[in-house]
Amino acid sequence: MNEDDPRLLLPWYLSDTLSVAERTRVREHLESSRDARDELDVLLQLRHALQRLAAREPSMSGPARAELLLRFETTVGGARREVEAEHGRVLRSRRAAGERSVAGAVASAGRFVDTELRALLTRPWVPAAVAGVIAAQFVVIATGHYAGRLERDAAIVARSVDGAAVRYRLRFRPDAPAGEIVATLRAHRLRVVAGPDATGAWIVDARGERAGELAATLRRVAAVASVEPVAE
Amino acid sequence: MPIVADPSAVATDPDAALLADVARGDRRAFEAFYRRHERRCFGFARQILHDPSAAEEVVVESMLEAWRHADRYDSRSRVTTWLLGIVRHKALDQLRRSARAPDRESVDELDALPDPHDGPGEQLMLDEALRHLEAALDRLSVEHREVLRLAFVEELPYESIATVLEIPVNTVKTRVFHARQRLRTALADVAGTGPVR
Repeated sequence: MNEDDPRLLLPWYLSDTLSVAERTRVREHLESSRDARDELDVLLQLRHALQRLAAREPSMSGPARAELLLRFETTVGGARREVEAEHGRVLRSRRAAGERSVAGAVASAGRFVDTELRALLTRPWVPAAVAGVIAAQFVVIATGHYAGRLERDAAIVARSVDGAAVRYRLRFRPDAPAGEIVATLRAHRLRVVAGPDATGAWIVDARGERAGELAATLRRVAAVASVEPVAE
Repeated sequence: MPIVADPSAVATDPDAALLADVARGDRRAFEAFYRRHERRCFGFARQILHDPSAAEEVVVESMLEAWRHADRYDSRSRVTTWLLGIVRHKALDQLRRSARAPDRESVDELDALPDPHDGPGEQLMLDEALRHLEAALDRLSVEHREVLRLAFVEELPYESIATVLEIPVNTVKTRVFHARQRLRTALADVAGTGPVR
């Protein structure tokens, strides 16, 4: 069949995605050819049938949706942790630079006092200058304190991430909705390590003081089919 | 973290705007993006793979890939086209891995399909016809199944189909034509009526 044959464009004539020129060419062909009109009727039926068939297709299962959302969150969370770690490194380097600048400022002030004190004491603006130096040093110290506090906060976040975990194998009911699965994992702060596997089991880590007692709690959750601790 | 490359696309295409939010790690945007495209992607993957759980896996991987590579979306094609291209790649990879080769060619007749508006009792006939159609589609090659879906279910312009399938536009046109002929033969075979035309 010739590539310019207007019959080749019939599917897109139906979906109205042809250019004006192509559409005109197809319309003229339809007006002049009975076979082309019959072919268009058949294509209409085919489109209708294929769309009906597609409408009957099942949707994705709840566990598959939950897996997608959790993997998205895990990946985004991982990227955020990288950003936080980088932020911590920047804070530490800034603090170190601040300490070096304080030491330099103190040394300079000392030399200044040693060599120029006598001359300065005789001048009328000396009290204001001394007050200014003290205020500047106070600002430098306070900035260093703030940077240290941010660094301590970052350390707390890191400790919470690195805390001890209890690992479980968790199975949800096959008909459990994705939202319920995600809500259960979130409510108990479970971190997904793997899954779901072919049997529908997730491997999750629980953290916190009551992590070891979580199995009994999870067994009472309607969406949960089974839960058992596993060795890491 | 990825950032969508083309700001002009974000301004004109709601899908591109959503993709930009997804790229920034917005979970709600990701859910909305997923809900908007899930059915289409799942149906397309299922059409290629013939295996619902493998198709689910492909959709999960494709959606995550769409997020990771949102910066590669350049607005030359619609987001749907871009996404279906990802799904197709993943599905074909999966097909190769599973070493399944459902490339049976087929046969049948579209005129046998009843019009659902014909009258009472047509529902049963329609169900039967759709079962035949499904069986006939199963007999087609992956290439024919996917091009029929993109043309008649997704109703993509032939240029977009060419982008998704990575083939020239003229090949798209002739492939749809040949797929229709194969389907006609397959339908006749399935329905036991023999090819009509």
